[in-house]
Amino acid sequence: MKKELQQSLDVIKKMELEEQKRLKEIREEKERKEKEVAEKQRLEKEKKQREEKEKLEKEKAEKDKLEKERIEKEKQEHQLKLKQEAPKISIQNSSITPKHATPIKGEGEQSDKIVSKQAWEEASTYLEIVNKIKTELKPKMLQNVEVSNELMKCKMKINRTVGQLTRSQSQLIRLAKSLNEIFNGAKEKSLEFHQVVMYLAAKKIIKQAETEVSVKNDTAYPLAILCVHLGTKHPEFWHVLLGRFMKKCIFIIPCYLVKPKAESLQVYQERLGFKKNETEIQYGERMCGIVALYAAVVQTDAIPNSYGIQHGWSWMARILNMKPRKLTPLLILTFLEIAGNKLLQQYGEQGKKLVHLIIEKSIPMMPASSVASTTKLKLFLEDTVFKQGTIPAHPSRVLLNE
Amino acid sequence: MSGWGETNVKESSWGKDPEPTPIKKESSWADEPTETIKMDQLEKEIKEIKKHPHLAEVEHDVQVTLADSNDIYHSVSTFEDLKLKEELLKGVYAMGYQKPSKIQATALPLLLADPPKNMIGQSQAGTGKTAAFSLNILSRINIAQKTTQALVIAPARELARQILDNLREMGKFTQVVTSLAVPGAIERGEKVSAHVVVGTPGTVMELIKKRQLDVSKIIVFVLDEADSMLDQQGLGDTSVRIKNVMPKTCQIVLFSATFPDHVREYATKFAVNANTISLKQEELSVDSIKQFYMDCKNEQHKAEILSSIYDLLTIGQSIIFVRTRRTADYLQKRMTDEGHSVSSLHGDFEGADRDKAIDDFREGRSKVLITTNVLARGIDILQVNLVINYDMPVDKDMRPDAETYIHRIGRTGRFGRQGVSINFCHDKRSFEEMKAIESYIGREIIRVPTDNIADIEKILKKEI
Repeated sequence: MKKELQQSLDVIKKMELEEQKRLKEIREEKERKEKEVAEKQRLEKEKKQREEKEKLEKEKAEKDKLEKERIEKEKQEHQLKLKQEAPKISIQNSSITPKHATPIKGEGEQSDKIVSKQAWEEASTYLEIVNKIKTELKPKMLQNVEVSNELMKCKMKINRTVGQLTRSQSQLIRLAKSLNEIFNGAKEKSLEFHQVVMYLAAKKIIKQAETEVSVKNDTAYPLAILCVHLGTKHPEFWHVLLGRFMKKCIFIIPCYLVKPKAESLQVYQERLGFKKNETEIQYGERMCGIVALYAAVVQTDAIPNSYGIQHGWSWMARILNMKPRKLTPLLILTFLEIAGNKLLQQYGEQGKKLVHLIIEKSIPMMPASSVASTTKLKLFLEDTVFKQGTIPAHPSRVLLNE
Repeated sequence: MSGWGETNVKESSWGKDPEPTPIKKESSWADEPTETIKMDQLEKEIKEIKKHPHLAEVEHDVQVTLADSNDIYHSVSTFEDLKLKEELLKGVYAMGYQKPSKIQATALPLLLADPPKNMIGQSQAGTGKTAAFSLNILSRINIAQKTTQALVIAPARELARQILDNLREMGKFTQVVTSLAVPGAIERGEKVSAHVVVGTPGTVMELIKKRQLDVSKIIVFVLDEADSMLDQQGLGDTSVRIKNVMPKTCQIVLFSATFPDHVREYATKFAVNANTISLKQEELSVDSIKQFYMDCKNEQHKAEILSSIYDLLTIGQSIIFVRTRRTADYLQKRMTDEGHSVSSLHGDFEGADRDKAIDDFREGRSKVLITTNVLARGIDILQVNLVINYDMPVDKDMRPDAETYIHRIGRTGRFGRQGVSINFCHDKRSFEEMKAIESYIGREIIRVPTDNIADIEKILKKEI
């Protein structure tokens, strides 16, 4: 037992180190490529080039800074996790209470949540941004009738645009352009207006994931490209989008909620974000719709993506580090169906080890009540990694040229 | 299979479930009782179920009448309870089913019991009837025997294809062979020996007459959308002729969301001595479908209001039902100009064109489907969350057609999911048609005034 434990600790440690190394390599590769592109452009357009380069460098510096911070954060986080790992596994078979699985108990104020400290800190930033828009900025703007009408117009246009999305490439380009124009128009009015319009778009996109992606998860791909495009043109859009992601689905953070004995089921479900009259199955489906879109976003590489697969890796690592709940197998399955191909492609051997971890450690820990989805997850892995040695790209991943 | 590190997980080790059976549900969501009950306790049980409010929200009570009052009635609450073959249970889970719906929980134990009994089953649109009879078929056929053992007939080509796809998906871990019997699918003179044949009545009768299909070993005969299949004005004749050549011992299963009285009586003669599951009139449509009507000024205004719906609601995919081909063409052009991806499907379409229209829509290449009555029944596309009756449904004598209405709006709200149906009224006649249907189904259709976009949004938002 102890030896096994040490082995798995070693594996995780090794995975982490290799991941960092790999991330670094990827980053370097990316930087190199970006430089090459910039070089080319300089030769072609000398005037435009100077502005372009300045902008690129500024962005890159920012990105590097963020990346550095992130890696540092993750390192700390992982060390913390490792510390937690030992008691967690050793009591695996005894009557484990959720509290034992809490990676971070915090200062006591977060005892109702099971979430890694870093994940919660990241999430808090985004959640704060959307809450502020929702409770302060938006109501303030709605007081002005003229502005309110303008917002309604934008909202309707956003609504129609997002709803029209299909896998057709030409259509996606048209719709992405149209949304970008709406954003640009809003920016010209005021920064606040821009913020609120981006917020409305993020809200609509998550809603689309809840209604459409939840029942047909491959519709996430074109929607994700749309998100990445808007995030590239308007970097602040990432904040509101991630905020909405996490507000509507705590599993994006990822975070589980503990139900205190005294709390009624109804109150607990409200905290989890159940809708009125919603069954557990419908709720799970809706959550998976949002997870599918998140997975599609992080795996998007058809266009430059500043929120790439490394966030998918973090998500997986974080969720696998917590004791699985009833919904966990479906969340993991959904994520792998959409982003599994990219994850394994990007992380190679590490990715395979991750799959191994799911099979060896996570699946045996899945609660009995999730037998249907756990079976589905097993069948999926059997069909892909075991039979084909990889998770093949989803056939709907590519856009249609029409 | 190589490069998987030292742990060396083998496929075979997967057969062993990490969780010991029987599976106990640990969630605090109360479930239906699983115990066996005698007939006289049945009513008590149904009352019990009523006490669980969360069940009543999405699943209606059904009335079960057993053919033989000495029988014992079991209801199940998990798929494990059904004692299905392992490869079949895998198929069920792989399709994402988590627990049986009400109709499945009620009908499956009766269908699977031996000796086989006939069944007349009624359950709302989108509650899993297809999966119920498919499981029965897949449980009953003997794979080793390479003959046709089950026959399913349905009123439309699209429906037959869909049932077949469903059966294949569910049986993908078994060696079942299936075959589609619709116009153009089977070559002249080609012998059909698939375990399961799914088709439309005309083509199936042709195959039998020409001795391409041997029916002597058939043990299960299913009529989906049975009320339509038995309608003497339509497919009834052919259905009876097919039934007459079935072996006398064969299990006959009739399923539909609607059984008008005159058909029900006939159905009991068609499937004699059957266990029946029926719905009360006011439960013909499910709660999860919100029903509205929009007061429009005239035909032109209808088109404008239609556009605004797409600016207000979050829509996955939508189906618009119209009365004439002309309206279908007009709306298709108008909506395409507005940037929507639209498919159109009506009776003038044949074979491959029909397949393409429905496939485009099913795959999401088009998001709006404009159609006449062709598609009212059975088509199961989960991402459809809006059905619009641009014209109210009427029968061939131009009377309001409530059955068709129920089937139309049943294209959304599948399996307890949220769905919206919006009816358009623009004159006295269409208003009266709507009102007649409202009183038949016994449920309020909520009025949405159309003078002001903000009001429309407010009302829809409040209800959805």
